[in-house]
Amino acid sequence: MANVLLTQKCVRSCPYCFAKKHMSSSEPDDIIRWEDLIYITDLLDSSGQRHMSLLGGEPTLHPHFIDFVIYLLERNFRITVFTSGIMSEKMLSEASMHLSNVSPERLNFVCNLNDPAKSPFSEVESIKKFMKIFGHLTSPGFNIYQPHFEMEFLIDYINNFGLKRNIRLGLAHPIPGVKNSYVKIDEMPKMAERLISYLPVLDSFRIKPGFDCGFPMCLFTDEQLGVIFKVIGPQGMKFGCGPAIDIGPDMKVWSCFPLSNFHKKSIYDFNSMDELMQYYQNLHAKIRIEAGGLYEKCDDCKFRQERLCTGGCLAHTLSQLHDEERVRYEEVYI
Amino acid sequence: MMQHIIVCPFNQGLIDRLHSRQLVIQDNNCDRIHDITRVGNRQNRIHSIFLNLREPFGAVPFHESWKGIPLNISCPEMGFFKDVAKKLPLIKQLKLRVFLSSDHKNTYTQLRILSSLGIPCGIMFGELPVHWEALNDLMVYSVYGKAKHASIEPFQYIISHYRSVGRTDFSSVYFDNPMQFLHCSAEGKIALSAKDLAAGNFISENIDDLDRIQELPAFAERKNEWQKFFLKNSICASCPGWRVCLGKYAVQAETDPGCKQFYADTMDAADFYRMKNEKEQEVWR
Repeated sequence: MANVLLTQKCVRSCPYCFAKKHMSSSEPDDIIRWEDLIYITDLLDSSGQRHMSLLGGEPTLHPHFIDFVIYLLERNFRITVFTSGIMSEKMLSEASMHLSNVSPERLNFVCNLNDPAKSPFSEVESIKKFMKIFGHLTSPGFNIYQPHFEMEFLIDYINNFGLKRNIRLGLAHPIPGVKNSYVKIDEMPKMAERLISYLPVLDSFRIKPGFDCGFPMCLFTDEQLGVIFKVIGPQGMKFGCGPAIDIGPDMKVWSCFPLSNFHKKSIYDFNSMDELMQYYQNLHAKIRIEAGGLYEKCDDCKFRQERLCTGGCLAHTLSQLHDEERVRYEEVYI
Repeated sequence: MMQHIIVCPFNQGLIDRLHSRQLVIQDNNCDRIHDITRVGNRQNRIHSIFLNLREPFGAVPFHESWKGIPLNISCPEMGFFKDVAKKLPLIKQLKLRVFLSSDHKNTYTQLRILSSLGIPCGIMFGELPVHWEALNDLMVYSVYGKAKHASIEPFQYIISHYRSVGRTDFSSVYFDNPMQFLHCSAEGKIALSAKDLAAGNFISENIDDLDRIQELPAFAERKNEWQKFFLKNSICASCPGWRVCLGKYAVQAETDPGCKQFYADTMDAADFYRMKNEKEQEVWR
């Protein structure tokens, strides 16, 4: 799978934005061309992969967004669109006409939702309009960037707009060399406690949250892990961090947004997605040799050795290395 | 002696006079496809129907009943992708090749889209100068593309007919190679190419000459016309791409030598294709 950035433009300015570093160093008018989308599709296809995520910025701002989705469906791809849900009436009506009847097996929106109490009214209204039409195809996404947060609004949205009953829970990560909001390592236990307190409520509404990358396992006590197991199930208990593979409109590739400035390459340097993935996996492994994870105890943690946990987000580790004397493998520095 | 395929307009009287011949029937009206098929198959055999349309490809009113009819459709452009997408399930069932004009700025992209969706297609060279770099990119996609896609002409013709010695004339893609096709006017006058036909430059004004065309001096002259480039010491005579281009862009080449790189790269691609096929065959030896 790959995440393809259709455009660098975004309609929001979230304090935790992982893409901040990447966006600040890119041309906002840079949008992906048809030829490049076909190249990426072919590369995935020839690598035996049939799933593509469309990102931005805000991907629906791309003038060919709907055409691209239809094209990828014709190429038998499964598509996940990461959107804010904020779009013009014209785009919403066109998207509704062409995409609302696509099977949820083939098209899925992940709508990144911010607390409406902290968002402008017009933004909230626009998102509601989107959810009204595309609720059946949409999973809510929620990014945690401070230890104290509210999730009740997600339950309301899911019930009111018939969203899918799972929540993609993201943990905001530091972007080495950039100021963004994220949960500091020492604030993580507090954040974990808050998160766990929501699980019984979510469970009572049959809503399953799923962890995105970067949650370390030891963030939770054994008792909390038991609650997670009960509510989410074993398949949802992911404590990993690995290359996501993001592809920009300029055909540059990188491991993931927080590491967008780290060993950026051209997609043309690789003959297949497997080769590309292998390159970043090797790089991750090399850094993990230098610094196992968020905590010193990660170095000889048996769960890390058994690959049940990767020791948190690599961007945290790189941020720690960022200011130190350059005495390690050259590859680990940005 | 090889019998030529006759390229002619849809004219019932003419088609009856062309008794027992293989025909490429040209027209510009989709509504006449069934009439063309009926008349063309009565005493002749239809090689294919060539529809020269003014509307974009996406606006063509494709119909279930066109299944099995060999169609070439020439359009100025693809049109809206959404329009094409709606018709894709039917289009994929037709025996169709679509040609888009090189004069439209998005043609190179649109051909890539159509090919990647499994629709055989080709570029129809128009009146404006060719954008060689874009054409080269399209050729690279057509030959080296990583995923399965439909053929794009004239690249497919070139790579599959190319030999390491001798000439490869891709005019056949456009039914315009006088060694294989002859053009006939509604009045039964015969020309060696579409351009000659349009200019009224006929090799014979008697339809009965069709079987003896190859005996006419003008035919032999056209057959050896390529030699003139060397006698005149034209810029094309020393071009590495000559064996495929055959001087088709001689006028443009004087001011824009972009064709030279394109044809050289196309020949490399043809060599690559030939070697790849030979390698694949080796497995079975």
